Amino acid sequence: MKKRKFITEFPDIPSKRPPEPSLPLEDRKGNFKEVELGYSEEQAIAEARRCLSCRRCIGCGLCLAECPLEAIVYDQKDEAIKLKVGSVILAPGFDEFDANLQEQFGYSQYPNVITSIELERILSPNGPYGGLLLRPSDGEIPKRIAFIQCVGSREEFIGANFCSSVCCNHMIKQTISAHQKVPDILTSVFFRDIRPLGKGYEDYYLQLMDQPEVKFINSIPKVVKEEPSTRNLVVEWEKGSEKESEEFDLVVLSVGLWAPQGSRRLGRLAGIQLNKYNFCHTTPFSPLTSSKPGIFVAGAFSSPKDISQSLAQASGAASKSASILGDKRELPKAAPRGEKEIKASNKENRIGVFICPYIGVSGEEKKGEGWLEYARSLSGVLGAEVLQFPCWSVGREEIKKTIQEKGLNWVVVVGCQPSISLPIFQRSVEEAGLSRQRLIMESAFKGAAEDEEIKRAIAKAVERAGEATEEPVSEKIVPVGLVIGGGISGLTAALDMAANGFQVHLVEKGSQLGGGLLSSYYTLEGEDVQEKVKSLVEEVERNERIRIYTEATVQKIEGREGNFLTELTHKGSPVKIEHGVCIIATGAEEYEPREYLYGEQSRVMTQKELEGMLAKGEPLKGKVAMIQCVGSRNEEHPYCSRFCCGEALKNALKIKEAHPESEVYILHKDIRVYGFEEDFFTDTVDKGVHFLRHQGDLKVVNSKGLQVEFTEAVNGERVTLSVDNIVLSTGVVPPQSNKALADMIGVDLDKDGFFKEVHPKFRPLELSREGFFVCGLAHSPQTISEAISQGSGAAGRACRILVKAL
Amino acid sequence: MNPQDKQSAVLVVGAGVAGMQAALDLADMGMKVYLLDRAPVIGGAVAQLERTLPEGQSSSCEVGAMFDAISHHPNIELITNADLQGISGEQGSFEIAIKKRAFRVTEKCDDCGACYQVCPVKPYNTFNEGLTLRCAIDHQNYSFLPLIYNIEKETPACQETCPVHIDIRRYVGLIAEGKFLEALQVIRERNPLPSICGRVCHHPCEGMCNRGQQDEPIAIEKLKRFAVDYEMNLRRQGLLPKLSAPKKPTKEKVAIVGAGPAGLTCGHDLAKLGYEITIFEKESVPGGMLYLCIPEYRLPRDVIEYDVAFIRDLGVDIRLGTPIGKELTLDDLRKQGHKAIFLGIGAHKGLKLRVPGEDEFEGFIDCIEFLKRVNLGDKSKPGKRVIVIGGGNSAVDSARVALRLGCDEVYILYRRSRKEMPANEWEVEEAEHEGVQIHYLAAPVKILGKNGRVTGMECTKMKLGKLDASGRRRPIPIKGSEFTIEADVIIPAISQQPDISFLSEVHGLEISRWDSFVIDERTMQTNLPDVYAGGDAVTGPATVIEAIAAGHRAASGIDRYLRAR
Repeated sequence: MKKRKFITEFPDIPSKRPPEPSLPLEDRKGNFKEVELGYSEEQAIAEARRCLSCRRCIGCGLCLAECPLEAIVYDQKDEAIKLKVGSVILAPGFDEFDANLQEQFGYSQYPNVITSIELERILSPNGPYGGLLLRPSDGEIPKRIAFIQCVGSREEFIGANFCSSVCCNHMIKQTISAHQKVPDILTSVFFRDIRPLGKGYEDYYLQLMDQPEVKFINSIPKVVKEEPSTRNLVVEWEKGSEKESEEFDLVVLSVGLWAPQGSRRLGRLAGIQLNKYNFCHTTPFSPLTSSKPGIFVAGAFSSPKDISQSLAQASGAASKSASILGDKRELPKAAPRGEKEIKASNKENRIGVFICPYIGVSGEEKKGEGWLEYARSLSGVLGAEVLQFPCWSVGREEIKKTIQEKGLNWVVVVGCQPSISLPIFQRSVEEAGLSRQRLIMESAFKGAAEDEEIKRAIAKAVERAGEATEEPVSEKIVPVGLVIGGGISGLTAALDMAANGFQVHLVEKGSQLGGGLLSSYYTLEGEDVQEKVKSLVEEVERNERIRIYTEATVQKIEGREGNFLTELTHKGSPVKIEHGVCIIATGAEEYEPREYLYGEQSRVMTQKELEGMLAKGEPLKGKVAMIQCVGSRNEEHPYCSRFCCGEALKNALKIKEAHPESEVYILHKDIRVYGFEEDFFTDTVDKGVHFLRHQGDLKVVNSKGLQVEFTEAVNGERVTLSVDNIVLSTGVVPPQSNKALADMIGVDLDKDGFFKEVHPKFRPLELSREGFFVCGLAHSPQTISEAISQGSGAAGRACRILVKAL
Repeated sequence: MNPQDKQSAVLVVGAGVAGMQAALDLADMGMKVYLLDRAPVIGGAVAQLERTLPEGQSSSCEVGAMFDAISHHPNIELITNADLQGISGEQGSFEIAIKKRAFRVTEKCDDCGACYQVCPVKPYNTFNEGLTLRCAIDHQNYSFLPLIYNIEKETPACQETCPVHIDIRRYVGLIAEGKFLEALQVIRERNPLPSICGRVCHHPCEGMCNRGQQDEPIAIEKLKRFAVDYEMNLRRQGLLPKLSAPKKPTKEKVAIVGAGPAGLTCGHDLAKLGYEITIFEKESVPGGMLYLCIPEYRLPRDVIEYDVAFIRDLGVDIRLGTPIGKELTLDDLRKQGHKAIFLGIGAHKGLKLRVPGEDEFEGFIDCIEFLKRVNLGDKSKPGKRVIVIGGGNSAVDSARVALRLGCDEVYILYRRSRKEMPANEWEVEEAEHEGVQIHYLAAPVKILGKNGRVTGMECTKMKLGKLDASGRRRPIPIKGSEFTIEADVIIPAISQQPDISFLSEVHGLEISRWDSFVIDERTMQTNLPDVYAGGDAVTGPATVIEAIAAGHRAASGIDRYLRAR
């Protein structure tokens, strides 16, 4: 048990230990008399009575007596289970950091200092306060919230010199939620660097930056104190050399993700190597494999990560794992139909409308009388209901019952995200005897909907119910995969599908496999990229199940999931390919800088060019300025390119290694390295590399040598640096050709031009057209190991479809 | 591995979103999946979130969809409320051992909630992060998978943590009711040295005590001491019946080397099982390190004798002043008819500092040697100014003993900071209270001496650097920070190793590079089938209660070995 807070009980029991008598100090010299003298009988009894019995079942038997079904078996024994398996996937997750270890923030001393996970619970409709944002001490609605970032992360002295990767996103999401619930709430965020990992979060961050109610303060507070009369909290921090403080109603500690409790034991049992923070050890080119063959890893156990990365890894680990198993497969049968299938086609419309009560504004439960009345007034609607938890088994039983009782032939569900919940309602209507096409699901909102939007969604769904026709489902599955793009994620996807026994066609528009990594030489962790890529390409070339088409482009894709026909132009001649799935791994391009005198001055270069020089043994000397976010986080490309900070650290370290006397300046908006990359960041600081945060007004001029001018972020001073070389940390941009490909397939790109997945968290690798998957830089800017995870993940998702052909 | 042995099933450990997704994908690929989780329910941390995207819907809907898919998938078998116990074998054919804890509520439950209304026990609701209470019979989150309710009835944290698993809650409860002798019986069920542990156990149980999260942990150790003192007083007043005469042993002879806590416990357990036990002790006193190294002001000698008397009373023959070595070898013990031997020799050999001047001057004395001398009766004053080097309990003991012997100034030098100090916190506090001066973040550079006598020590200040591979921060000397402390006595107390010089050259035992015995952790058996080892002799310097736990394990290992013969 982890929490202990603010629930005072047992008031009759004295709260502190009775003090034990001891030998007075003056009597201790020159003798060996016992110092501690032991409790008296009264003291012992008083002390023993303080035991809380630990709030575990005491076996009183009351529940047993009450249970009408005799479902309680007190003396049920533990069970020893032996299993035989071919592989193991470790996904034990993480443990949140115990905020008590950073005492200065007053956690568990002050009731209104809470962790970010506690705030999640408070905001949840099924949480302690029914979804209302209240503070624990008195149930008041807070008007001023402070978020303290990096609690239990990026702190060497507590043994956690890693970035927990998700806490900034957490904070951004919670700030938005808090504003929805308490519109005039004021938020201050104390941070080191804002690191919004993953797709879309940079936009949310930019939105928050524009809001006057949200303040970002680039400093981690020294201490949090409580004002005892109001139980408000005073946060003290330093700005430059000045001390500042401010009062808040609620302080939220964004707690980090630590290795799960028991990870050492798990490591020992499984015989796998852990890293120094007790996470599972993996390498950049094998992010899913542990140090022991046959044991794979997914999710936060290998490093802190978000949901979409975890799920991509999970699918990847599934694919890796399946490829080494025996070939005894048992494919799940189609969902069982109800006993008599309802012949629905020729009757008049009998539509039932089911509405989720949580789709209204602010996610609070709604009775929704207005919605129901409206729904019932529509033609063909037999009945309408607001269902408590429609997507859980309780609610779905209700849907099934109603279908059968009222003889419905159309079911309309107005809820949240069809991308997530459609399959479960399909299963329900099938179980009730209707075809799955008789289910219409409509999403009413983005976040939270107004009444009018919900009514519009109801009307739209009911209309669709009348119109939809039942399409015949193709039964043919071609057990062949098509991968478009021969970079690291495409190569991985192809190899993984092949390892699972499927034929793969790999299409690459260039003349050579390897993609963007062909011009990369080493990773931050020190691995030889050229060697890795070379061996991966060789492995693909050797693989008999993989057919490679270089200098090939896709002209046309027809068909549906399981059975596609694609036309290629391969070295000028047309080729036709039949396949069951398609993985888009078309990558992205390096941004070609037009700014900072690039192309005019030979001493202004990109990180890639520098890396090439370093690899040839031509390190830079003297004063070097590295400019971050070139072609990223600007108006044209608002997203973060994810890996450029790591590239800068990597090359800065190389320069320092070769010429320790050279001066390297990294000019940045935030340093964004995630997970265990943090260690390299501190390493770079230790080696004397200078990190300067600027306000985004950076200029390069060439008068009397190269100069960089900018305004320093913390104290607002104007700085001019004279340097010998300038290195631009250029980001990635989605290729122009994405648009044509997306149009050809009939899927969407996101607003930045990357392929848009079905659901950014829960279905990160699928495209909206069934049978199509995406991975690597075609999906979003990412690191090598993330691209490899996604490549395996896409293969895993794709194999689920291909196995049906077996 | 034969191809036909290749398994088509997968074990997924952890049923958070990653585990659930992996299980679903594999199951869809036609594989059999076992999805294991420690919690009684599935969903992991994501189920706790309000939502996963700023504009998304409740995360319980999103994970709810996964719950649904899992519960409907014929290829997925959920094993929740279960702990992984072992993974053996290799890729393609692993064997997995799992302990599934009892749910105590069966599938018959229809969620009527009647039990919930009456349950009087209110644990913290961990799903709500302790912001509310729940009931002992409970549904932990809203996944309702695989069952709706369960009763959490596991071992209390204190008992779980105790290396010998004393039923602490029970005896504390008995003391609360004034049943002190019954309480002591509960303690003796698992701990044959209760008087000793009532005074010097490092009581990890108190660290885990849930009351500690409210205000202060229950003073478990002091309550244990109280129960023993209570009995001791009654016995001394003749108010309790005399200890009964030992029963005649009915089973084989077993020899135990060393009368420390591990040896005493092993002997105690085996004697109770009917074996004929002889303990061979080199020193003239029983108790091993307890007697030789723990000072009287912490552990009076009559208390040690009190516990030892109970063990003697079981018929255990403790032969003091009988070293095993050249005169009496392990082979001799075998020849005498001992069918098994337990080596509980402790770790008595002090490690070297490895600084210049060590061992050159008079006044330089290892802490174990120093404490032994004092504890065996030599109460002469070693010198005026004493430096003790190290941060463990022996260091603190040496310092406090030196003060009691009348030394004027006593220093402790420790290379890390107070937070990292391995000595018991309360001992350090007492030492400072009594006037010991502690230099943190300081380490010796050189021992200084004149005319063959120690005159002082050159030290350097340290700073804590990066984490090393063990996850601790490595101390690094600060250049140019050297300073000198004058002293006429220097006591290194940095660590100890077992002294295995008693073994003959062809002993055949597997020895680690730290001179400790290599054993099978479950049975405590060494590579020689009839030789067992435990306590500090295996682990290096550790605690009394761990040595007792090792003694228990060795006794059951030996019993199993002898019964199987």
